Amino acid sequence: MQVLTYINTLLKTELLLLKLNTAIYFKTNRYCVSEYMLLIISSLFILVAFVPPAHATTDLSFYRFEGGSSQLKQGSLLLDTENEAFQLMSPVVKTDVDIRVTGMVGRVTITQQFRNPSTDWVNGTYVFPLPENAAVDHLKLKVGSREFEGQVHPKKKAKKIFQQAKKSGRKASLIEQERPNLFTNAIANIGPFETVEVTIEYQQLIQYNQGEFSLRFPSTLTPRYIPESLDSGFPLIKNRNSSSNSYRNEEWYGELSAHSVPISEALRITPPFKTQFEDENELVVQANIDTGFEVTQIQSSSHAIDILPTTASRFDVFLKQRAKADRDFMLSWRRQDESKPLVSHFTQVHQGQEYGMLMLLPPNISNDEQSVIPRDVTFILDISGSMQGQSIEQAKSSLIFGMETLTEKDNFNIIVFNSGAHAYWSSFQEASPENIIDARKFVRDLRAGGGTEMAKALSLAFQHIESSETSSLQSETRLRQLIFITDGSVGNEEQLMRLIDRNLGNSRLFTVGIGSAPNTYFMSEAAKTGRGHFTYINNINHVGEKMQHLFAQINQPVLSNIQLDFPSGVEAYPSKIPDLYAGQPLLISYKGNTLGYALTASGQLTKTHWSKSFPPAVSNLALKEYQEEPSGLNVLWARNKITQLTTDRRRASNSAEINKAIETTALTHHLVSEFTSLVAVDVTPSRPLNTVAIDKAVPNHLPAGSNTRQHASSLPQTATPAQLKLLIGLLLIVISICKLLTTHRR
Amino acid sequence: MARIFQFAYRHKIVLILLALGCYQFGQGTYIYAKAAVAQVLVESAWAESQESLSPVKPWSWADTWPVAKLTINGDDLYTLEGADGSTLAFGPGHMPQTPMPGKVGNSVIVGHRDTHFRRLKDLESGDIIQIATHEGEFDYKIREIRIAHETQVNVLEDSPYNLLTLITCYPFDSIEPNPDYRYIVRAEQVSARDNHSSIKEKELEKI
Repeated sequence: MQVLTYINTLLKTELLLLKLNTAIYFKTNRYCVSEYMLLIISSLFILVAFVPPAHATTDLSFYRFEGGSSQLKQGSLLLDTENEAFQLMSPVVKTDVDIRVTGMVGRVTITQQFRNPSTDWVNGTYVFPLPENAAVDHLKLKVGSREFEGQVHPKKKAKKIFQQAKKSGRKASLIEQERPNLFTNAIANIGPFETVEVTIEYQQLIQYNQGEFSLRFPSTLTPRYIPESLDSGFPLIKNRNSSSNSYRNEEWYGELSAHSVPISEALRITPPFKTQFEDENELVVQANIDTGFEVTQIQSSSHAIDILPTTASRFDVFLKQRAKADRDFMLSWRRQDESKPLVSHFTQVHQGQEYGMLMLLPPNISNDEQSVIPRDVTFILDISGSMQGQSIEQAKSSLIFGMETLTEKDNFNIIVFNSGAHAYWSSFQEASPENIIDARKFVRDLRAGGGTEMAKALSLAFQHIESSETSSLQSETRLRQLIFITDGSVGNEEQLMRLIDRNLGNSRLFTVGIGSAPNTYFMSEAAKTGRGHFTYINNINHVGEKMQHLFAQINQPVLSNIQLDFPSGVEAYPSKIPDLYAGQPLLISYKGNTLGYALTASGQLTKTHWSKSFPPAVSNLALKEYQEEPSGLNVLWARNKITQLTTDRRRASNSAEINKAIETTALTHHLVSEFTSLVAVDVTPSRPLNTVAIDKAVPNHLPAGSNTRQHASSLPQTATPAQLKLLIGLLLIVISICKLLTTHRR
Repeated sequence: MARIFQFAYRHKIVLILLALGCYQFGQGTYIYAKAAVAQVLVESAWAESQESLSPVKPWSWADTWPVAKLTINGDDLYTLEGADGSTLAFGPGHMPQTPMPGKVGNSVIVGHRDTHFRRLKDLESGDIIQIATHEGEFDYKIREIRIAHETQVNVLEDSPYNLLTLITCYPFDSIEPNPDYRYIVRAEQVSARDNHSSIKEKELEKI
């Protein structure tokens, strides 16, 4: 086809030339024109005759599959096996998301419709991401018109229940947590061409930063890299056929080491990705937001949306068009009147227990003193394979933007990493214009590729900071900031958190998330452990604005040593309140009675003491701003408790005790956690026991704009138009010479 | 002089046609010339980088550098880093996401059907391909030659063995600029002569 297009273009050019001259020719020599036309047409005929059909010369015995491209249709996944060729259809999922927000609490209902487009009975496995603070507490399996509620059980028990159902031919769904932001849904016994519907519900807190309220619904994941262990030769995943259904029964080469991710787990968090010939996973989102204040600037940086305001404080959001599940859905809004103090205190009684939530925005103290503390800034840039495509460009411009905000008093260095880590300079350099120009050139030339050995990069960064601390004068106080720009696509989060926790010292770590579907659990957890905060940039057009916000925020004084005077008997989380940067809210969940007690928060803002009282609690009866009552505060509290326990575990000597506490909390509040799963089972078997169900993974879409190897949609282009050009050129030369010779004689 | 102009005016369409032909022919020749001349420049860059064991760009504005020397039927081909069109014009390209030749895994090198990798059509199963990197010299024995559709990306997948995969467009004698099929040569490492003096880390950081 390309040949024809090419000839077509050529022909058009020639016709244009012809048109220019036709007028003259018509007057002078009619015969000449027609002869010329004849020549052109004949030459084209010769050309077309020369072009062999694409595989006319191909020996068909060479093909390992029959039929060629005509059979590669939509919805099929072609597998290349040793001896025979066959086509296999993977299950497809359609996700319906219904978001309801009341104040700062979001309740999200996800309906996953699994369609089995093959003629076999299938057991599907779908790996899906959720926000990192999601508390999954509800599961419903729908088979036809019958519905089955999910029950929470310890992980092993839930798995056993599911396996039994699977074996006996009954439909079942099992929700397991792989990471706080990554879950698997295993669905047993989906019949040929059948659709099974699974509904999952979760509770989450709305994000607030610098006046902006936002929520995010992730719809796919960036392929995770499972790194080699720091201590021993932890092997990489080998021989993983990313598009086959056999990804659970892999051969494994090498030894496992203590701190790295075991392979069984590694495989569970690295699902297959779709090829371009498969049906799309569809995403439908609708949101119903009740803010409790007058809203403005409602927008989505990821999708085109329709906004329908119902009152000044309430609005509904719909996607403008059918979306492909290849990027995170983002929605944000602001308050109309930002001068009003943002303080709230909700309580709710659940099973005889009182649960509460406090929110408070500390005052914005601008940096009026000119004594800005000089900084040592380390930029860490991820140039691994998963960053290929738009991500690396976003990351580079973020870094360049970041560098340009530095003043001459500051020092900086750049560390880039993929399979190894490399520092641009051997020590911190002054942020002089020459150094910045030099560094900018280095950054521009970087290309993405290879592994994601974050531990190496972080260790190198901490080493540099340590050596500069020992060499510099003791009297000089400098802020030490690490700006970590990455998509976070790693599977060894826990190992990295331990590394940060151990080495942080007086430094602060800020993460900048890049790409259409970054691992936000890694990003936010690393920032929390690194006592900094996390910025997400999903669009290259927002790089400037977001980086400016980040640098403005981290240059302002932080509110530290925050204390809350709860009456005794109240269990509040987080138990150690993190430092607050300008524009960040204080959010606390608690359990216990605070009735009639005036709560006060206090802290240290640079050198001054700060304190603020909370209004008395608003119970669910006296709530006027909202149409709906606050609910699920107990779920949020339990989720915060689990987060706190997970953090504590990193430093604890007895992790078994903490694990037990996590399990108990999750079971009491009906939550999916590291140690508990939700399982729903049909009561009647549907699969005839003389048939077999095949295990198949439900492929995810690659994040939009990414361009990584195993998941490349086609092999590289490996032909040049050289031969075609030579042939066309030669033909034209021969024709014109012939014509010249013949006309000359005449 | 006037007669020349007169002649040119009389035959202007034919002359334009001739010019167009020369232009097309020239472009075609340029592709071949670029492929051949670049290899000479890359050869010297490769020799230099073998000395220093660090990447050396063949010319100052290049965005690629030689990473290996591939020997097919006695012909040396200097392989560059990167598999995009701008790299492949100068030599076969190593896909940066795949391991380096000689390492465990599936190392993929792609090349143009019309220029460097035209010689792949003379290869047969069982033939030996030699490749030299900063790490050492390796012999690969061809295990399989086959045709794949361009969507069969699983030929790029990693492997627990030391594999080398060479890819070019197929069929060889087609003049189509973007055909749908690829010619896949898969070879397995049969011997290795490690170059122990080299620093492993240097090779790891493709920076």
